[in-house]
This record gives sequence, C-alpha cells and structure tokens, in this order.
Amino acid sequence: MNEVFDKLLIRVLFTVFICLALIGYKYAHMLFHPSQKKSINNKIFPHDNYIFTIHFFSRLIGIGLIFSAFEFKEYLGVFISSFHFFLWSALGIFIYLLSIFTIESIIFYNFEYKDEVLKKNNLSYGLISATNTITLAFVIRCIFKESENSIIILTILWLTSMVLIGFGIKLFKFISDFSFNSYMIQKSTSIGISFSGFLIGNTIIITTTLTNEHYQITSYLIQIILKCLLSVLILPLFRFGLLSIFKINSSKTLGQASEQEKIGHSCYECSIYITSSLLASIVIGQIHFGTIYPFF
Amino acid sequence: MNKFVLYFCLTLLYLGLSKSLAPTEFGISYISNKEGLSKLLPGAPLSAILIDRHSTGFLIKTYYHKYKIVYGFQTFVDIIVRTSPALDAEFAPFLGMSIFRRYRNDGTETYTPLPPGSIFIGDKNFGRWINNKGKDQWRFFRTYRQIPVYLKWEDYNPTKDEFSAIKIHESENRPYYGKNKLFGLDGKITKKSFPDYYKRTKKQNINFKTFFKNYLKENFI
Repeated sequence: MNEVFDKLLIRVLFTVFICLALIGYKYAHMLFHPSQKKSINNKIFPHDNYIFTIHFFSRLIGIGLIFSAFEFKEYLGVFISSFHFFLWSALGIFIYLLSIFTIESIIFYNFEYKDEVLKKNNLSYGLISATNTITLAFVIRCIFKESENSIIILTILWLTSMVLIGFGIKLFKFISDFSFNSYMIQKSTSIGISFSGFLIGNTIIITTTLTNEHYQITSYLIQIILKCLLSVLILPLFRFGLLSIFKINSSKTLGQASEQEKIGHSCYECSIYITSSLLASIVIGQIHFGTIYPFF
Repeated sequence: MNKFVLYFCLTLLYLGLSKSLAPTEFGISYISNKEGLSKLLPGAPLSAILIDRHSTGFLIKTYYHKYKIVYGFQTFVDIIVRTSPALDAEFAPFLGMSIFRRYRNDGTETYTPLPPGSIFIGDKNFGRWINNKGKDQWRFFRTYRQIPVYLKWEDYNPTKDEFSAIKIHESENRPYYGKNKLFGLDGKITKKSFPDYYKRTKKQNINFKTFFKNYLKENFI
C-alpha cells in the first residue's frame, strides 16, 4: 500500500511541476508576443471576445501537446527526472513560441494581431492562427520525439521543418481558388476554413516525412526531402481521384459568389486537401518495402 | 499543359534524386555484361563462381548475383553485384559454375561456364595427378587443401579425361557441366552445395483454406 501511495504522491508532485512549467510558458509567451502582454496579464473573460478566445486557447492546446511529448523517468531519481523535464520543456516552449512567431510572420505579414483580433474581430485571423498554433505543436512534438534527446538533431530537424512549413505556406496560392490577402481584408470566414485545411494537410505530410527510422542524420534528411517531393507527386493524384470519383464540380467563379457559397467552396477545399494529405501519407510513410539490400 | 510539364519535371527530379541518393547505389557494383566481371575483379589466378541469384521488385525487377571469388594464393571473397536482366537470364543455367577465370601466367581471361575451380586443375603449382585404380585423379597439395572446400566440390574428383574435356570446351567456348551433369542449375553437386537457393525458389502450393486459417490465427486472435 505504501508503494501505491508513494506513486500517487509522485504523480501529484509531477502534476504540480507541470503547472509550474505552464507559468513559465505564460511569461515566455509575453516575451515573444509583447502585443498580447496586456490581454494575458489581465483576467481572461472567454465570452468577451471569441476571436481572442480561439486565439488564446489554441495556444494552450498547443503547449499541452508539446508537454505531452516529454517523459518523467522517475527510476532515475525524482530530481534528475524533474530537471530533465524542466530543461526539455523550457526548450520546447522556446522552440514552440519561436516557431509560432516565425510562421505567423510569414502567414500574416500584412496583418496585425491588435487590428485583426482586438479591433476588427476577424474570425478568419483567429481560425488560421488557432490552426497554425495547434498544427505547429504537432510538428514540434514530432521533432522532439524524433530527436531522442539530442540537441543537434533537434536543431537540424526544427530548421528543416520550419523551411518545409514556410515553403508549404507559399504554395497556397497554387492550390486554392481564394486570394489570401483580399479575403482576409474582407473578413471572409471562407479563407479561414480553406487555409486551416491547408495547414492541417501540410502538417500531416510533414509529420509523416519526419517519422522515419534514423541512424545517420544525412540519410535521414535525404529521406525527408525525398518524401516531401514524393508527397508533391502523390497528393495531386489523390485530389484528382477524389474529384473524379465523387464527381465534384468546383468550377464556379468565387468573385460573384455569396458568402454561403464561398464557405461551401472553402469546406470543399479544406476537406479535399486534408483527405488527400491523409491518403498520401499512407503512400509516403506506410508502405514498407522491407530491406532493400539483397540478403541472400 | 504547364501543370503537366511541371508534374513531369518533378517526377524526373524525384527519380533522379532517389537514384543518386539511394543507399543501394553505394557499395554495390553493376555489371551489364560478363566482361564487367573482369573490370571488377583484380588479381590472378582467380575463378569467379556464381553461387546465388536473387531478384527484388514487383513489376520492375532488379537482379543480383552473388559470386565466390576463389584465388590461388589468398582466401576467397564473396561479392554481390547488380546485373542486367539479360545477363541474369544468360547465367541462370550456370549456378554453381565458374563463370569467369583469369590465368596467372599470361593474364588470359575466359568466360566459358566450367566446373568451379577448373582453372586450378592441371596447374602443377597447386597439385598433381595421382593414379587411383588405373585413373589419373587430381589432388591438391596439402598447402591448398582448402581450395576444394571453398569450391564446394563435395565428392567430385576430376580425372585427366575430364580435364581434357574442360580444355576442349574452353577452347570451343562451350559450357561444360561436368561428367553426368554434376554442376549447373540441374547439377547434383550444385543442388547439394547450395540448398538455400533451391529452397527459396521452390514453388509453394497455396492452399487457401490453410492460408486463411493461418492468417486469422496470426492477425485476429
């Protein structure tokens, strides 16, 4: 019985420790995003501004996802495992916030948080920001798992994934019928839905490419690049297949469409891209050829 | 139209990168014809014996050959090479036989399929003829007693008549499988020496009832 109580106590202690780490996250967040300092420091009323609520709580989900990648190895000792968790969670928070800062600078280079969230209540901004933070959390979580406690591999993988995500975002104009800037200015929800689907799809592809067995960093990076290139080849095939099989006609010009029609079109774009990405991820990451070296 | 051109270019880029960066491209040589063996194998005297064949791939096959290179004055080495489909088909009947050999004296190279180690038979540096019940049989010197083991001769004892037959076939560039077809794909000694190959290539009779039973047992229970 003593052992059971001891284990429960340790679990409670670790829970408190994670909560303490969240305080660290709160202050780190203010450091990276000084424009949100006031709104985070004050009491939060979720019903006041639903755009802020989406924006803020998505980050909480994100940080939860990042923390869920770490482990407490109690058998090494409470102090060592806490120290390990503290160090890696601090690094996780730092990398996560830096990633959000970098990617949001790419996506919203024409838009300001204060204007769009606090003044204009732009739902698209909130949706895209929320999806971006959650998808980034998935990527960072994947990087932490793949790096296996190596700072060098973590740095290389983080830089690689940032390049892939940044490059992926620039492809939106080739895939979607929506013009990002003009629809964001119009505060059209459709761009939020469409772009969110695009980000989720990209994340599925990137996490699939990162999930490889790795013995040597060079060959691992080569595999990532090759898999990304393969996804560019496979994904359009699935998209074409889905459109042909389900006889989807998406030829309507969006300029004359009503908001409802635009939302319908964005839902189509979002779902088709996510489905294609999921199906492409099977081809990219889940076909196992076994050993390629002749074993006879 | 531009989209198709872009897609085609990306496909080429993927294939090019995959080929140049694939691990199979490193450390494994490719031979498209039998002369390729000569460039690959230095030293003399040597005998290259085809000891296994293997192919990978579903629709587009890649062929591999495994050779045992038996040298006169050093230990043997096993090498694996990728080959062309034509060469694989050409060499298929010659499993367990010497495909290539290089003589020591003048560096002559021959590609006639012959019994393994035929290059050493009759060479007075490696052994001598002894008379056994009225027949001249080849015996390696004690120093080279491991060579027949490397060659997997089993109970093969080449006689002077056989040596003559080997030389005639070599000069006429005709394959020689040994007396009573001892070597080659259907050879008795080859079958005995390389059982793994025959086990692997043996056609399996698929009984669907047993297959489903095993599948359900392995995957759902």
